[in-house]
Amino acid sequence: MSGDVLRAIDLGKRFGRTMVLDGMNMAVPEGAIYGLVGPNGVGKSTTIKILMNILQPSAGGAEVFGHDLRRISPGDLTRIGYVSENQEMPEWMTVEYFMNYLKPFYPTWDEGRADELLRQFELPRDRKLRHLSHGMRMKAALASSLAYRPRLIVLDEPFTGLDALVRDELIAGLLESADGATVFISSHDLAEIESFASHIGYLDRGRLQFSEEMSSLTQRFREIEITMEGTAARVSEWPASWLRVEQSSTLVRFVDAQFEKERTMADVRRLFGEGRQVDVRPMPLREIFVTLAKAGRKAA
Amino acid sequence: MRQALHIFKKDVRHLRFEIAIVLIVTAAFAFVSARRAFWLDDPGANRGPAWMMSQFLLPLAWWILIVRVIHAETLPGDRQFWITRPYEWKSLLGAKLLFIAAFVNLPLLAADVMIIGAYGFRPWAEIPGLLWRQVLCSVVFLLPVAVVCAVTSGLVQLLSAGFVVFVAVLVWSTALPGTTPGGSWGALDWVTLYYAILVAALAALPILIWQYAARKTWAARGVAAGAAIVAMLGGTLIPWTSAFAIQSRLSKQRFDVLAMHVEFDWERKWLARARVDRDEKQVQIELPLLITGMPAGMDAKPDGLVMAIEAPDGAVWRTTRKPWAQVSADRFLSLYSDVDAAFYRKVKDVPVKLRGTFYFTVYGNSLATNIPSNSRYVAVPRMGRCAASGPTGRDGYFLLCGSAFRWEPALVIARFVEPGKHAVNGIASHPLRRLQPLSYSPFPADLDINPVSQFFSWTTSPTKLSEVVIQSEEPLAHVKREFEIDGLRLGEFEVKPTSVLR
Repeated sequence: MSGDVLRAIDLGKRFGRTMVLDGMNMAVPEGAIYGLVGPNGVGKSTTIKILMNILQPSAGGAEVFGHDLRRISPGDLTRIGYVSENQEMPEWMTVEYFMNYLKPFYPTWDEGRADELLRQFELPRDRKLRHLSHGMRMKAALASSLAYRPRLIVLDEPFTGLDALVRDELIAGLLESADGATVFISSHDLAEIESFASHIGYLDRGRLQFSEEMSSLTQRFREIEITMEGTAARVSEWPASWLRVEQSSTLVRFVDAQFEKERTMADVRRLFGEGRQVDVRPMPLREIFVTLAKAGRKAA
Repeated sequence: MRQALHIFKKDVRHLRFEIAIVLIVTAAFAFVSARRAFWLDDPGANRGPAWMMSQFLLPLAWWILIVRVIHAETLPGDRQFWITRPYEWKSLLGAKLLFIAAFVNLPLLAADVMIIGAYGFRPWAEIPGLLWRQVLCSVVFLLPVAVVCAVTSGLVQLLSAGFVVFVAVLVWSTALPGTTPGGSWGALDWVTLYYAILVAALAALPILIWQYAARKTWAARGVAAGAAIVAMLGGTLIPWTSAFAIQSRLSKQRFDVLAMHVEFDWERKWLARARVDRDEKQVQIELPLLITGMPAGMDAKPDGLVMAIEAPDGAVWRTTRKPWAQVSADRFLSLYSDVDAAFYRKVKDVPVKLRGTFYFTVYGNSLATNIPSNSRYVAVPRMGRCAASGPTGRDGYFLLCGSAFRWEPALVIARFVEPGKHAVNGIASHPLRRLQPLSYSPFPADLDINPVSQFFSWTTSPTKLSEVVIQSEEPLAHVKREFEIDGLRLGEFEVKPTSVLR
């Protein structure tokens, strides 16, 4: 699809006998803030490292700015900002030297913006990176990755280990400086992602379970509770989109992963007849993922 | 180029202390080595421990600097900040090589100029040696270390790699003693050494380029390990005779060698011996040979020998241990070979045929240079520059020679001479020192940390000695001659083992 900044096509990665990524297909449109979420150890960082050409895929391929990622050039990297929670930094450099050192690598480096970012993140210019706290290091990494106005910002678990205040500062700084850039961020911190992501992908056990716009995701997941007037009929087969179904004699509770008012109500009527109370509640992202994770484990 | 310089400047700032250490050690090395040139004037100038230490510390300081600069942008791994930054691999590699050139090669070059200058060598006359030494040091001491650094991610991995290499060499030399390359071919050792250098040069730079371009660490490690094995093992697989053939091909035959032959010296047959070991497992055969057709004024020096003994019934004994030969001052050649006692007993009373190939080098074009006592360094052809002093202390007379980058492959005799006496007159000559040719290498520098090789000789004399005469002969041809001796009865020459008194 044209206009996609990042694309993964049947992407696979195997470490020895372990399949970490299996047939991943994903597209990140230009200007999106794409959150790749999933439990720990499901392959989010591996995906990002493949997309940054740090690791080579075992199968399939990917494109960045329409280029095969294996041919990603230093020129492409001048348009990409990358921050990772476990990135090794040149510890001996001071914050200011680090910024000055990186400046000549980027034709679009904006000195004014760099100063502004250092001020905004309250980074001590003369302090060596090795003497910064984890949160400050992440800020320094982000500042150094935003100062050249990248068109794609890739963040690998940037909020891990940060306190709430620093996290908010980072997110605020990112959103203020993104300036229309595409943001691709991996996290298992769903609450943070929910607050600003426009697109979301859910990765579980090496497979991308879905990848869609946040609005459509929150639209299609509903928690539904049906209270019967009499005893509920026993149902042998539930609709495929109903997850986490719980049933007592007078109560049925489930999550509909493909909620459409008419269709869902028709299913309810078909299974339980008339004469019941139906409560439909929207779900926060966190609950959606807990539901998906549990459903996934059950299926596995 | 701009990016390479930018990275280079960053490394200079980052590693300024390590750079300072290398420069200090190089300066100390240059000072201590240059001072050795004035040893005759100032015995304290030969500060042995300081000199030894500087020779050990210099490569150590280089290696530390190389480790630090390569590992500043580690290649293996997926967490380094720089791999997601727009680094051009050519610029990164260029910056690292520039750094090594600037802070290892260049200071070494300056040190070399200073050291050879102390002996009176003119740097511009020694440019081939200066440059070739840089090539050798880079290929042997610097590039392999850079490769190991490029395929390791830190000091722990680096030390582990070093440990693996150490254990491999230890196991090899213990399990297969005598198969380590070089060390037994004398002046031809350079062939195996240069084979290993060639493999190192052909492998190290491509591996380095490949690793910087593709960062395929495991593959690069495999290729590096393979190259190391090929360099070490290949040297042991080169037959000695091939080394001699290479030498002959590379050297000009400076006179017609066709007239030269090797044959059994029937007139001196009485010199032949068949010495039976006390445990009667081996018999050492010694046979007098004669080199004929050698022009007057030339000397032969044996390089090697291959030999087989054929019995009338077709049984053949081939030398399993390398036979050897020596030429006496009067040109008589003796051949020595160990023969299995069982074979010897079987054939000792029947006429046998000896077939062999004798490899030797002919020296000639004798030159003599007189060096008055108490003279400063003077140029001595084929020897470099020499100074003489004396008498000092208890009538001691000293000769000190320095050769820039390598010794020429000459046979040299130095004689301390009484006033008015002729140098080559044996009566007038005082203890002489003969230098064996160290290497027939055709290259202008040998592999050595020290750029000047020293030769030192001294004597005492109750009478006054006025000068030193240094006489030298150069190699004129490397000759291979087959010989055949028919009808020998080895038993005729048998010598029983002598009993040992306890």
